[in-house]
Amino acid sequence: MRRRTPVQMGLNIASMIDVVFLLLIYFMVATDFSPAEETFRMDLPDRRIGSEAFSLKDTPLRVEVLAPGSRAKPLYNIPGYGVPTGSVVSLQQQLANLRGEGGAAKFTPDHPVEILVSPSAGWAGAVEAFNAAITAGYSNVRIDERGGS
Amino acid sequence: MRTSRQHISVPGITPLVDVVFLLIVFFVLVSRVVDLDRVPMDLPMPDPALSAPPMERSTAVVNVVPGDDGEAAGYRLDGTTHATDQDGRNALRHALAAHLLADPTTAVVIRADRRARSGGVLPVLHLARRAAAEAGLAVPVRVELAVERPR
Repeated sequence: MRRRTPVQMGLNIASMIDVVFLLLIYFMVATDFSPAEETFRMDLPDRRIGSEAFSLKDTPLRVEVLAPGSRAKPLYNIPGYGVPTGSVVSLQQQLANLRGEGGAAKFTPDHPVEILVSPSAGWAGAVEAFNAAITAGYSNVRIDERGGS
Repeated sequence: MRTSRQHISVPGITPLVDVVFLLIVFFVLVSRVVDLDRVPMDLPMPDPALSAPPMERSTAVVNVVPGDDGEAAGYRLDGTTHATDQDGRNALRHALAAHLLADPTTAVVIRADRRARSGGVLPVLHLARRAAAEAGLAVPVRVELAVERPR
């Protein structure tokens, strides 16, 4: 009687590597490497036409974003209503105090707010001021150039 | 005399399928990475931000290409970089107007680096407004300011 040769059991390494690579690529595809991007929305009315949101009867609440020095942090100011501040949290607090009904409140939440940005001020400061106005509860906010056309 | 057995070589179907799958995955990856609409830059990151995810609709993404010392090096829209001079701005305005003519609900998305000076970004707002007038838009043009959500 012939003796049967024992069958060598072994794992096929090539197919294992294939599977590992496919898993690796799957997780690379599934992972979002790009930073999460979001947006602030605003409507830009044509100045020649005029719009309901920014009509003359509603003089916008103006927030100035100034650049006191070439490398300094931006300075925020609400002309006629607040004190200039370098803190965006303080700006937000001042805006929140002006909003609402009764007390020191002077503006409704849908009152237009205009962020007037000095051209030499940093863009991040302008966006911070926009965010502060939204966070303070205003719904009608837009950005424009300070002293612009 | 014994004839040697002839070997018929048959291509293995398994490696072929592997290669095809790898090609598919490669192109899926490349199509995700190559995004002509978005120039790599550090967007402003207010924290906490009340920003919202971008809306699923027609957009014209204007990238303010970062230059030296916070100045704008150009404006990139649809894979074309427009100069910051008057000719470049006119070309950008026409391109935006074409977008708004094709779809009046188009939102102009402005992407600018957090270290950029506002003087290079604010002209895009004026151009969007003028493009809307050029396109005869009856409603205010919708502008979206791109920010990075804090992780």
